[in-house]
Amino acid sequence: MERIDLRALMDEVGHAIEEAAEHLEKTRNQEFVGTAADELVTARVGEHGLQVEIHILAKRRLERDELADAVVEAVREAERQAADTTFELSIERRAKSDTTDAFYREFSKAMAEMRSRVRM
Amino acid sequence: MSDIMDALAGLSEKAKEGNTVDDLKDAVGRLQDQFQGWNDGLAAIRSRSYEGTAADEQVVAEVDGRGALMRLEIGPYAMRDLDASGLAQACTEAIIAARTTLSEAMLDHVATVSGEPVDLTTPVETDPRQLWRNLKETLRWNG
Repeated sequence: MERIDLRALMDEVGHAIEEAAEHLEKTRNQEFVGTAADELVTARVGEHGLQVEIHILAKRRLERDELADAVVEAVREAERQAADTTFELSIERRAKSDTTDAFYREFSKAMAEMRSRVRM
Repeated sequence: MSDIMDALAGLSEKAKEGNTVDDLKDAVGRLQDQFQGWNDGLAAIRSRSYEGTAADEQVVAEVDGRGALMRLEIGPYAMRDLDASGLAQACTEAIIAARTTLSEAMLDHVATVSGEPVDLTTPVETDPRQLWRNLKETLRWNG
């Protein structure tokens, strides 16, 4: 059985948590905007959650099902942008490049599985 | 007590009684079946869609089992009676209501593990850095 350097492992985990928490703090205040119907319908996703905006011209020009579709399109775009800002931890980059280390191999697999399950 | 807690308690009893490995295998098997059942329940929740409404049910939003917006319906009275700003607010509320319905289904399912409702009122530590420090302290890790 391969020996595990527990101290190094604990340090790695601690650094990864610091890194992820700092990234979260940086992006927490970001706002993501999606638009539709020539920017007459807007969806904003940010610190205060989701907010839909409908311009008076959108309400005049569009039928109600067109308007509803435009809202869905704008919301999906804003949320797609928000989801796309995941970033890679340094430990993930190291694990991808060091395929000889058993811990890194298992870690890479576990992270890939978790990312695919968590993403919307 | 929930089925999962029952199975866990059963396994714990067997272990304490100094049972054979075969007896423990049965108890572990029962616990695994319960967890599998719970996972199946979670998959069922995620495979469904959930609705939320606003403006006297004139605006209806539907999200999938992960909360992604699938569909929005704006009723004729909402279109007639609400101004653009009011309509936008109703759309936002309907989407949030749909996602709330989903999260209530999730919370109900999580509660089946303990057999008790999930406590959302007790404040918990949310900073992962502090959680990590707390964990190291619990483990008496001086590294």
